[in-house]
Amino acid sequence: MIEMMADNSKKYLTLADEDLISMVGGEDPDAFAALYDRHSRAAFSLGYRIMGQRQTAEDLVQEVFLKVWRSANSYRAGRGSVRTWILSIVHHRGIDQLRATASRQRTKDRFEASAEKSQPSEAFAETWRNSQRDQVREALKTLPEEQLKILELAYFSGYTHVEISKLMNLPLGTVKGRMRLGLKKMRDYFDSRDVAVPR
Amino acid sequence: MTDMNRGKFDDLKDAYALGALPEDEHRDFEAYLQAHPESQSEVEDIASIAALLAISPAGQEPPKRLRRSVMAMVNAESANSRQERRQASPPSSWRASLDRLRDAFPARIALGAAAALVVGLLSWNVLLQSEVQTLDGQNSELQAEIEAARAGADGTGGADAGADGSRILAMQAEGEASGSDAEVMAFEGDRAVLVAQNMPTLPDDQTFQIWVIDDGGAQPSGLFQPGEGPVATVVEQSLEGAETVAVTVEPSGGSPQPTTDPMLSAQL
Repeated sequence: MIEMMADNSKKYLTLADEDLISMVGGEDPDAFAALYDRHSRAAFSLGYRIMGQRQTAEDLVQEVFLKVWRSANSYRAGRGSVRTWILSIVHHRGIDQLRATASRQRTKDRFEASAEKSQPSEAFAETWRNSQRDQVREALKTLPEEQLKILELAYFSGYTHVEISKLMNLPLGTVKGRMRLGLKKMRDYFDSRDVAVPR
Repeated sequence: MTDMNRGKFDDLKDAYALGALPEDEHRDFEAYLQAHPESQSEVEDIASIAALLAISPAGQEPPKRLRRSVMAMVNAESANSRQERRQASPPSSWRASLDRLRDAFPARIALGAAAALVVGLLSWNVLLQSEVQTLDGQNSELQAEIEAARAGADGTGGADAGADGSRILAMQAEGEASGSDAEVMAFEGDRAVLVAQNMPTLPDDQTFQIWVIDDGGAQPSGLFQPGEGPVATVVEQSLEGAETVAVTVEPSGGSPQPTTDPMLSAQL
C-alpha cells in the first residue's frame, strides 16, 4: 500500500496543472494536494500582502483552496493558467474582505511600508515560477514610484481610483493616467524583450 | 446605464482591470461590456497585465498546519461524497435490472444479458475494492494529520492545547464501548475530527452517529463504522457554543435525533 501511495505521489508530480485541476474536479484529493503544494506559497504570499497579517492570510488561503476543491470544474483554461485562476480568487476574496472590514488597516503608513516590501531584495530561486516572479519584479522596477504606488494601492489594498485620488490628494484624472501608464509600462517591459507575458 | 460610451470605457478600463472602480461605475462598465462583447478581449488583455501583480509579493511560507487543516477538510468531503454515492446506488437496482430484462427478452437473450450483467457486477466489485483502498489511504492520511496535530499539542507542554489553538478531548466510553478509545480533536476554534478505535462491531443495519449538543439540542454530525484500526471522522457541525460531543448507535443511515444512550461522550 505504501509503495502504491508513493507511486501515486510521483505520478502527480509529473502532471500539468491543467490535468491536476480536472482530476480535482473528479474529487481526487491527491491531485488537490499536489496543486496545493505547487501554489500555496504564491497564494499565501499574495494573501499576506493583501491582508497584512498571517492569521487572516491563513484564513483567506484556506477559504480559497476549499473553493478550488469545490469549484474545480468552473476553471476555464482559455482564461488563464491554473495559478492565475487561484491567485485571482485570493485577490478578489481578499479585497472583498478588506472592503468589508470597517477598520480597514489601509493606512498611509501601511501603504508606505508596503512600497518597500515590494522591492526585490533576495536571490531568486531557479524554478520557473520564481523566474516569472523575477521578471514581474523587474518590470515593476521600471515604473516610476508614483505609478507603482497607485497600482499597489488599487491592487493590494483595494482602494478605488476615487479613494486613491483623495488619499494622495491628486486629481482623479491623474490617478487614472498613472494607472494606465503603469500598466502600459509593464506590458512594454515584456514586449521590448520579446518575452511572453506570464499567464 | 449612465453615460457609458466608448470614451468612458477607455477612461475606466485600466481601473476596471485593477479592480479599482467604485460599485456604480463597475456595474456600468460591466453592462457596457455585455453590450459590446468585441471589447472583452481588450479588457482581458489589460487584466492579464494587472494580474501579474499577484505574483510579485515577497515569498511567504504558509504554515504546515494550514495544509493539514485544508487536507483534513478535503479528505472528509471526499469520503462523505463517496459514501453518499455508494448509498445512492444500492445493489438492489441490479436485481431490478435483471428482473426487467427477464420480462422483456426471450430466455436465450436474457441469458446473454445476464452474463453481461455478471461481468458488470464483477467489474463493480473491483471498483468497490479500489474505492475501499482509496478510503483506507484517506483514513491513514487523516490519522497522520491528527498525529501531527497531537504532536504539536504535546510539544507546547499544555495538556490539551496546541500552538495553533487545537484541543484534544478524551471521550468517556460507556456500556459496550467501555473498551474503546476515542478522542475529539478540535482545531481552528470550531472544527473537529473524532478518532475512535476498538469500537464494538455493529450489525449491517446499524451505524455510529456523532452528535454535537448545545442549548438547542443534539445536532446530527456524521456517521462512521467501526474499523480494524483507528477510524477518523470529521465532525460535521461547528463546535462553537456546543457543550458536548457524543456518539450513539443508530439505524443505518442515521437518525434525526438520538434514539439510544451515548456510548461515547466528551464535555467541551
